[in-house]
Parts: sequence; structure tokens; C-alpha cells
Amino acid sequence: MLRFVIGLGVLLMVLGFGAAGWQYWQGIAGADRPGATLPPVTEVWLGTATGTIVPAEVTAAFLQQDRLVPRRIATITHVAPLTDLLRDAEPLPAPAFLEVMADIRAPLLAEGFCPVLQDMIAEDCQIHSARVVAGSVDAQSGTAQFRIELAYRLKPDVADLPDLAEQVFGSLDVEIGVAPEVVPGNTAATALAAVVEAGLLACSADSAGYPCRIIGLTLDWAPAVPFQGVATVGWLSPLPDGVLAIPEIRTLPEG
Amino acid sequence: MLLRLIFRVIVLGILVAVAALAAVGPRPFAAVLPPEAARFVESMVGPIGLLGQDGRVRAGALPADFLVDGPDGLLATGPIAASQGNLPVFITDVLAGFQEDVVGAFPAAVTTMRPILGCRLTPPQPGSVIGHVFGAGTSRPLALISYDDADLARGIAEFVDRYRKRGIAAPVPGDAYAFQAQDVVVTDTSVPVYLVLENAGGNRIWNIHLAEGARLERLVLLGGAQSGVANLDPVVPVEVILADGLATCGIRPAHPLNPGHQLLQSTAESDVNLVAQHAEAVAAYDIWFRDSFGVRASDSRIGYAAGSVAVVGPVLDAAGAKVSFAPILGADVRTTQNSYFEIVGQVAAGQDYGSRVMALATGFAFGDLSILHQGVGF
Repeated sequence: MLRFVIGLGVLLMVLGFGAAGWQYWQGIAGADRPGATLPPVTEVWLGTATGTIVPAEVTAAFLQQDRLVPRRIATITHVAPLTDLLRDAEPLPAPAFLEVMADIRAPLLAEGFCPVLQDMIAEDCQIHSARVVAGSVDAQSGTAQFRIELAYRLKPDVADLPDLAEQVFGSLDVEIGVAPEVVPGNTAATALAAVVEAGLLACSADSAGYPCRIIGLTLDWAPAVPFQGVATVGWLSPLPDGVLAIPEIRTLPEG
Repeated sequence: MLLRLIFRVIVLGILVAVAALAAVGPRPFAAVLPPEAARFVESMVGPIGLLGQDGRVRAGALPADFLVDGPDGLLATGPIAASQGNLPVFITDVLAGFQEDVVGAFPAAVTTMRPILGCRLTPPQPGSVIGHVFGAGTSRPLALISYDDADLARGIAEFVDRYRKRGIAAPVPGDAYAFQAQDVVVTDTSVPVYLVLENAGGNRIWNIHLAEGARLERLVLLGGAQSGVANLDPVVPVEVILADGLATCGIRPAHPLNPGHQLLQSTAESDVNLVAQHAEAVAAYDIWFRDSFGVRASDSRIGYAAGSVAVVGPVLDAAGAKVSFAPILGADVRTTQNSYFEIVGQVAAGQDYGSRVMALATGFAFGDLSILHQGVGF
């Protein structure tokens, strides 16, 4: 009985200290580890023409071009041959290992996409994640589906933003579905370029304000089938006539 | 003042409850707790208060006290064995010298068996007795491990996940592929016994203990990833159909649910449908079992969802002769094996499961595990 009580106490202590130590270690490791996610830092609020508040992460994706932010991501899902992951006449591993090999080497396939963004819109681009889609390996055709996320910063467009209190935020998802023969080269990279082009085209339209920025991209590509892409663009435009800027809301002082 | 009093009452109440639980076990709580909660407590804490400091069963405790009607099946939570009718008996009443810990029990020789081709098993001879034992416990791992490329791939995925989360190249243990020991005591000496040993999953070694005069006609090993036998006379034939073979043959082992099973306790429509489907599967398995062995699986099953000893034949009274425990240490083992087979501690450097996983992962990463890192520092 006494042993049980003492044992239970020791067990609880071990669990408690273990959990605390784990959290502490995670905190330290997380600060240095690539990929550690910190909340977007923005104290600016944007409103829309209909009076709604733009979510903070969208605001950050549009305004914060001095850093990479979690919402400004190009997500590319594409089917690729597994042989693209091999080097120096290396053979494919046994079928049981294809998925783990593809998952480990997926970053190799992501390397060709950042140059596309940097050529067209991005000042900086980094691979946020590159993974094989679980269960997507097709041993018969020797292909797998990969999901790649790129974080990017846009090239400078305006020296100074207008007074944000006098502006409203507008956005548009530009969707394109293109047959493979339409895109020159018919690769995932050229398809990504086409999606970016669609976003730039939307930004150049009269209905878009200025600055207009591509704040997100998605591409779903597979060889020999039409690809689907979405470019999310956002812009600022002056407050509509008759609409007043909302004064800054401050908390009342104590007492 | 009142708050302090309430606080003291709460703390005192908790202490009394913990002390009562420690002293007399969970059974008294069954009267005051809802049945689900009582079963949960019992399955969590086991038979506290029923065992003495030396691990022996306290006077007055019954085998049934150690059998829990749990949400995942009947669980042997103490030193009990399943016997005819799936009734619990104390292991000490049937087996002398039982060894719970078998992790250091290295066999003298390991011989490879192969599963049969096809789906038809040799039927029992007229007049023999069917001993149908069910094994599902995972609490008694042996130092024998067997796995294949798919198991290595699972290990690599786990290794990669850990590395991405912690940044540490920690070896992945191969515990999941260890053979579990399951003891079968045969006390029936009147007629030859035809043993059907059904493995609910994983790798399992059935350790056979025969009473003086007991005769085995044949062993059939059903199900599981890999299955083998220890301490079996080499002249006794063994036929094996593993889980993948059963699936190929369209045979799906299923057994009646215990009253406390979570599916029977649930009133959700999806669970009610699952119970109905399960009942159909049980009926189908019963038919196949009867056609193959002459008895229904649900009538003949001996064994629990957790528990590692089963008795085939009569249980003698406490004062009667016991069957001697035949250790796996130094025994001959016949078993099916996967692509890789290890005796823990006796494999060459770099040839164990964890080393193979790490070597493969590192190779896929071109020797540089840093490519496993994912994520941008936002």
C-alpha cells in the first residue's frame, strides 16, 4: 500500500517534470528550428468596401513584404515520375519503399518552382514544405503526387503605401483551367507561370486597385490533363464616396 | 471560511477514494459508479488489492476477480488462464513453474515453417478433441523479431517524422514486430487433441505444455502476421494459414462481443450497424470453422483479448498434479518468418531493425538527413 502511494507520487512527479521539460525543450528547439511557426505580426487592420474586417493573416500576406508570412503561400500539387528523384543511374527501390523515398526526396522536385516565381513576381522564395501525398504512389506507372508549398515575398511595387485608413481592401480568386496543349512545354513549372500570369492580368484590370498583389497561388497539375490553378490577388482602393474611415478604437483607461 | 471547509472536504474525499481504491481494488466502486466508468477504472488499474506484496493471489480472491469485461474485450488482468468454456482459472492451478517474463528466453534452434498452399486444412480424425485457443496478448514479447520491407518502410516514415519534429536521428525500435509468447496447456489425456491456435494479430509463438499422457494429433495455426510453436514434438504436423492467407481464402475471423464491449454499449446508429455486421461475420466464421473442424468457433474459443495462457482439457483441483512449464529458453522453435528474422542481441552490427531503418532513411536522403527539414521560419 505504502509502496503504491509512494510509487504513484513519484510517477506523477516524473510525468509533471517530464511534461514541463518537454515543453521547455520544445520552446528552445522551436525557436531555432526552421519551420517554427510564429503568429503574424501586424497591428494594422484593413476593412473591405462592405465594412467587414480583413482577417489579420490576409492583411499580413498583403502588407508585410519585408518577410515571409504563413498565408502568402504558393501550393503546388503535381504528379511526377519517381525516376525524377533518382541520381546517377540509381535504380528505384523496392515497391514497399517508394513512398518513403518519394517523401524524403520530394524537396528535389520543389527546386524548379521558386525560380518561376522569382522571375515573375517574387523578391524571395523558399520551400516551406515538400511532401508526397500519402497513398498516391502508383508503382505501375512509376509516379506519385507531391504537395509543395512555397513561401514568397513580392518584389517592391510602391515606395509608400497610401494612408490605409482611407483605403479599403479588395480581393479576387482568379481561377484558370487550362488544357495541356495550351501551355508551352506543358510542365508544372510552365503551368505555375500561367497561373501567375493570370493573377498579373487580373491586377492590371481596371476593376483592381493599386497596389495589387498576388497573395496566394494554388496549382493542381498532372501530365496530359487540364490543370487547375487559382491566383488570389488583393488590392487597395480608396474608400467609396459617403463612407467614413473608422476611428481607431482604444480601450478606456482604468477607472 | 466556508470555502476552506469545502476545499478540505474535497481533498479528504479524494484521499479516501484513492486509499480505498488502493486497499480494496476497484470492485467496491462498481456499486456506486456507472457501469462504463467502473469497467474503465477496472481495466485501467487492474486487480489492485487482490495480490499480495509478493505477487501471490490473496486468500479469498477468485479467478473471475481478475477477468475484466472491458470495452475492447475480456481482459485477463492477473495470473489467470482461460479454460474450457472460456472460464478463468488460476495459472498456478494448472501450470507449475510458469514464467511470465520471457524476454531473455532464447531458443536453442529456430526452424522455418511455411504456410500451406491453398485454403483447405487437414480435418481432425474422428474421436479426437478440438482445442481452439485464441491469442491476442502483447504483454510477453520474446527476443525474436521478424519483419519485411513494408515494416521497414513504416519505420522509416516514423524515423523521418521524429527527425522533422525533433531534429534528432533517434533509432526506431522494432518492438512492434517481436513475437509474443502465448502458453497452451493441454491437460486432456483421454483422446488425441487437435489444436487450432488462432492468432488475433502480430507475431506469436505458441508454447506448448503437455500433461503426462497428452497426445497431439495436429496443430493448425490461424491468422496473425507470423506464427510459430515452441516445445512441440517434431513428429506432430503443423499447418499454417496466416492472416493474409485467410484474407485470400475469404475467411474473416470474428467472435461474439463481450457484454461490456464498447460497440454493445453504444446506441449510435453507426455502431448498431457495426454490431449487426459483426454478428453476420461471426456467423460466417462459425460456419467455416464448423466445416473445417467440426465445432463452431464461438462455442469452442478459449482465450481473451488480453491474457497469455489457455488450458485445453479439464482443470484439476488445486491439490492435483500440475503440468510442468516448458521454457522457451533452450527449446526448439518452429515458426513462419518474414523477410528478416532477428534474435535480439545476436545480430551483426547494423543488421538490426533500427539500424536498417536509419541506414535506409539516410540513403534515401543522399547521406544528408538535413534535407528532411521542412518549414520556413516565418
